[in-house]
Amino acid sequence: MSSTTEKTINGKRFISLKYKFLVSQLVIFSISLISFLYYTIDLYLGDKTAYIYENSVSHIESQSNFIEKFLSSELNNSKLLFNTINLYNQKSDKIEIVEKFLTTNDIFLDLVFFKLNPETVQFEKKFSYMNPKILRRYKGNRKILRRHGLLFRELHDYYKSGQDIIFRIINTDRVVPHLYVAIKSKKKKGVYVFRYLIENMASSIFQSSSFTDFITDRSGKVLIHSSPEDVNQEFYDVYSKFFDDIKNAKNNSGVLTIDKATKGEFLVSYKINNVFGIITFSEISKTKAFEFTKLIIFKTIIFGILIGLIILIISLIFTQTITNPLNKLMRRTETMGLGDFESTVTVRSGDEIQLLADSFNFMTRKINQILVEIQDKGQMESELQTAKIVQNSLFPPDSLERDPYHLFGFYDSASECGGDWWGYKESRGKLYLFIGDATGHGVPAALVTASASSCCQTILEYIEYFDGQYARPSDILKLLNSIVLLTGGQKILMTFFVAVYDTETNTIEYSNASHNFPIIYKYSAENPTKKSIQALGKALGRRLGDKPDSEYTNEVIEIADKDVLLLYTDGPVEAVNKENIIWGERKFNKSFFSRAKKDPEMIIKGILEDGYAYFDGVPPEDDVILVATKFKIDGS
Amino acid sequence: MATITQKSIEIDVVVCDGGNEFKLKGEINEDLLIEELIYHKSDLIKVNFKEVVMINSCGVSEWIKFVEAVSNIGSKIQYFNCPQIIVQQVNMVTGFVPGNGSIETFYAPYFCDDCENEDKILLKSSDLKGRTAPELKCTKCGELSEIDAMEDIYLNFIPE
Repeated sequence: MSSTTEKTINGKRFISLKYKFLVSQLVIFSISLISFLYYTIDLYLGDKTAYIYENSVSHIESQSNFIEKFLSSELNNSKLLFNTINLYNQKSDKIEIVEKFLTTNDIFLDLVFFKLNPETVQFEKKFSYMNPKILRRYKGNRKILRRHGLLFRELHDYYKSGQDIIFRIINTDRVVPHLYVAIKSKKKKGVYVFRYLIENMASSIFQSSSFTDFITDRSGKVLIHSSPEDVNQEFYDVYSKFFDDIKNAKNNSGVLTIDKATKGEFLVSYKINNVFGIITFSEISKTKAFEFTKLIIFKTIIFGILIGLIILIISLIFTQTITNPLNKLMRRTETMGLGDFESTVTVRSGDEIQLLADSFNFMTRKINQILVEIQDKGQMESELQTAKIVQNSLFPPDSLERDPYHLFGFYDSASECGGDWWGYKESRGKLYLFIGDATGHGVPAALVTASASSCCQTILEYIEYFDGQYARPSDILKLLNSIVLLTGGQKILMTFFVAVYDTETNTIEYSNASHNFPIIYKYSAENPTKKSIQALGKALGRRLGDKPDSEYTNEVIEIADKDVLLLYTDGPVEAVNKENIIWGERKFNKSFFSRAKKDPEMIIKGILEDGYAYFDGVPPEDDVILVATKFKIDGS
Repeated sequence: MATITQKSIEIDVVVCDGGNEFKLKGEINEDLLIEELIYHKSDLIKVNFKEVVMINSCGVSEWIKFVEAVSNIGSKIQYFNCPQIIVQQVNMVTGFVPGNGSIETFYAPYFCDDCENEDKILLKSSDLKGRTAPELKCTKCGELSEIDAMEDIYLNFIPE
C-alpha cells in the first residue's frame, strides 16, 4: 500500500475522500441551485412581466377613464350653459348666467359667440366672456389665452356640417391646455365656443412616480404630459413609429415597447379615445419597471449562495465524521504494515464505520492471535524437530550383520514424532528384538514409546551389570507394562512384541502384548509360497498399560538356517490407496515371502517398493516399521 | 429402536430375543463414546459388526472399555458378522472379546488362485471343526477357493 505522504496510489494522484465528497456536494448543490434559480427566476420574470404589463394597462385605463369622465362632464356643462344662454339676447343676462355658472366651475376659461355674417360669410365675435380669476392667474399669457386655437375655416366647415357640436383639446403654444367646445346655434345663426382649462385635470391624474403620462391628439401632437423633460423633436422622432403602430392597431388599448437608444427600452401603454380624439399613453422604463424584480432575483441568488455555503460547511463537518474515522483506520493499517498488531482504533460514530472499525479491531486481534499461534506453532515444530532427533536416537542403526544373523530395519513416522518403536540388543549370545506400537501417534504416543524404549535399554543394561542373567520376554513385557501404565495412565496403551534369539540353541523365545503377529519364513529349497510363512500367534497377552496385573507367557520356536523373521507394525498393512482400499494382509505377506530368499535389506526395500506402488501417492496414515532378520546358522 | 449417532459411527439399538442388538455402522475410533452404549446394556448384547469399515488402536481401547464395563455387570456378549478387521483385533488383542463373550459369525477372506477373485464368506463359528477353514468353491469360476489368511492365525479365536 502506498503511504499517504507519497500522495499517489498506484501511480495515480491521491485525492482525499473528503475533497471528493465536498466536490460532489458542491457540484450537486450548484446544479440544483442553478436549475432552481433558472426555473424559478424564469417563472418569476414571466409572472412579473405579465404583472407589469397588466399594471401598465390598468394604469392607462384608469387615466383614460378619468379623462373621459372629466371631459364628458365639461361637455355636458357646456351644453347646459348653451341651452340657458341661448335663451337670452341681452348681454347682461348672458353675463349673469355665465357668472353663476362660474360659481360651480372653476376651470371655465371663456365663452365666445361667433355670429355668421351672411354678407361677408365670415364669423364675427358678438359676445365674449373670460373668467377673470383665470386671467389673473395667467397674467403673462393673456394673449395666448385669448387666442382661440380653432380657426375660422374650421368653424365654417363645422357650421356647414350636420354636426351640432364639436369639441377637442387644444394646447395653444403648449402653454395652456384647454378643452374647446363649439355648439351651433341655429336660432342665432352662430356658434358658441366654450373653453375649459384642463391643467387641474392633468395634475390630478398625472401623479404616478413610476409612469410618465401623455395625452396627445390623433396626430400625435402632445397636449398634456407629466414628463419632467421637454417634449421636443427627439421625442417625436422616437414616438413616430409608436403612433404609426397604434394607428394600425386593432385594439384601442395595449402595450408596446419602444427603444430610446441611450435610455434603453420603455414600456408604453396606450388608450385611444375616439370621442375626444385623444390618445392617452404612459411610458415606464423597463429598467425601472424590472428594478424591483432584479433586486428580488439578486437577493435570491445571494440567499442561494449563502444557503450553499451553509450546506458546504455542514457537508464539511458531516464529511469529516466519515473521513476522520476512515483516516484513523488508514493510519492503523499503516501501523499494522509496520508490524503493530496490538493497538486498536477507536471510532464512536455509531454507524457502519464504527462496525467496520470494530471488525477491523477484531481482525487485528485475530491476526495477532494467529501470529502468536504461528509463533507457538513454530516453537512447537522446532521442539518437535528436537523431539524427533531425540526419538531417532532411540532407534538403533538400521543394519546389523553378524555370523548367525543379518538384520535390517526401516522406520517411517506418520508425524513429526511417532508412536512406533523397534530396537535390538545383543547380549551374551542372545539377540533381543523389540517392536511396539503405542495407541495413536504424535507427541503423547512418542513419550510413552520413549519410556518403553528406555525401559528396554535399562533392563538389558541391568542384565549386563549383573553378569548376564537372562531376561525372559514375558518378564520384559511385565516390566514394560508397569512403565507404560505409569506413563500412559491407561489412556495410552502399547502393543509390544519381544523376541530373544539364542544363538546356542537356535531358538526364539517370544512373548506378545497384543502386537500384530510377526511372521517367519521357513526356508526350503522350493520357491516360497504362502504356506512357507507362519505367524507367531501364541504367548498372547494384554496390551501394555492396560491392566496393572497383566500376565504374559513365553513361546519358543526353533530356527533353521536361512529362516527369516519379519517384525512389523500395522501401518503398512492397513495403508490405503486412492480408492481407499487397504493393502491388506495377503498382498503384504506375498510381498514378503516372494523375496524371502534375498538378504534382509532387499526384502524390506522390496516390500516398501510394492507397498508404495500400491499406495500410489497416498501416504500411510500410521507409522511404518519393518524389521527383517535372516538367520545364518550354517554360516551361509 | 433407538439410534445413537456419534461423530464417526451410528449405532442402531434393536430389541432382540433375550436382550439388545447393537448394529454398528462406520468407524470405531477415539470418537466412540461408550457411555451411550452402556446406557443400553442388557443381559444379552448382540453386536453386529457387519457395517464397520475401520477400527484403530484408540477405537480398540474404547471398545475394550465398553465390553469390560458390561461384562463386569453380567452382560453376555455375542459378536455377529465380524469383518476381517474385527477378526484380526479379536485374535490379536487380548480383551477385545471378554471372557463371557463369543464370536458367533464372522467373515473369512477367500481367494481364488485361478481367477484371482476375492470373496468374503460369512462363517458360523459353531460350524467349524477346530481351526480349519472349510473348503469352498469360487463364486466366480467355481474352482477351489482357499482362505486368504494364515488359517491358524485367522481362526485363532476358535477353540482348538
